[in-house]
Amino acid sequence: MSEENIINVNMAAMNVATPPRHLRTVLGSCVGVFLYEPRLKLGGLVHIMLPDAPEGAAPGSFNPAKFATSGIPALIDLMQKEGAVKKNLVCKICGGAKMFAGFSANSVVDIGSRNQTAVIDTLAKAGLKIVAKDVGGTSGRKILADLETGLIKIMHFNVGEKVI
Amino acid sequence: MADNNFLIDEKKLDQIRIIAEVSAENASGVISKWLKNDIVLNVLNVNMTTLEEIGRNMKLSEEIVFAAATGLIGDIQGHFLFIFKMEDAFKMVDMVLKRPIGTTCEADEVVQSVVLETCNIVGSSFSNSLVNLLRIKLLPSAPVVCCDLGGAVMSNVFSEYSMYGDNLFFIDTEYLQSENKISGYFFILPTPDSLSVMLKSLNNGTSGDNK
Repeated sequence: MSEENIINVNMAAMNVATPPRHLRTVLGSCVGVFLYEPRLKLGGLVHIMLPDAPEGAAPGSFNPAKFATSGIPALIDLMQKEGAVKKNLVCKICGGAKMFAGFSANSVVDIGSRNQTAVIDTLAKAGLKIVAKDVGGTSGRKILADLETGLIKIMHFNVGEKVI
Repeated sequence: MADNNFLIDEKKLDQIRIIAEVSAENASGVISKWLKNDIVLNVLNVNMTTLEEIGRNMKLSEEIVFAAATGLIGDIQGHFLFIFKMEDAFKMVDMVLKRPIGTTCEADEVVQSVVLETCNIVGSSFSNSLVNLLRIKLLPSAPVVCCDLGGAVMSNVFSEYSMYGDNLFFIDTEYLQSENKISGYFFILPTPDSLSVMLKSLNNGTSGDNK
């Protein structure tokens, strides 16, 4: 597969694509939410950094892809604009690791699991079922979503590879 | 809501650059003493940057890196974050242990401990300089280290700060020892409240006694 067919999804970014493109990102405590419409072979990936926007933040004053509660609805909207039907969407999530052992007395500690919870809740509210997940642990993940098959290849640093 | 998306003018950036250089000079002295070798810590660049630019330009996200983070307590709160590419961390170990460069090739506890100690020294020296120049109270906590994908490490540490906005404060450094060079990425991550304290102190503190 050539590099030009790979779309890198940055921190707090979101992308939608079709084959032969692949979507790639690197996740630590962040959670990657992957939605796939098998009929169209349309895939979308959002790189979520935090559970929720700070209280009182006006919609439009922040980047929606950064937060679970705003990023997931934004991705669903984007997929629907591209022709996806919501009930067809297949959903997979990865990430939410706890990286620094002993990063104590700081809210960063639990950001991975807080992100996971927020993503799972938001997906449930949106009526989407998670068909596969690879979350938690203490190491980062490099993920590559194949839009031909809807499979995600996950490369764990120091742990190995798996496909969900 | 406190906001990090402010405009920092050239003058303030210059003042911070001067602080960074003075601090780097102090840190070079200390680190040379520790490594019993002449090491120069250079400040290459001081900048405000965005999450997006970091993702795009640093080319670190898929590299294995060693990273250490130090918490800051006092008038300025936040973190120092140090990132070294794996091969640079290995070089650093060889310098410390006075072995030919290239001897270390495994990411073990020794590497972690050398990275930790270097960050401890540079971080403490940097915070001492901030205390002296800005006349503020500041205590760095003991650093923690991890070895993982660069992108994973950065997203982990930056996520807390990204709550306030997309801007990050970034100092690019390098460590030189005769013909050897180690690149280090050094981030100062103040909470938004602390950043205004820092910028206010810059106005009061550094006028007339920059060096």
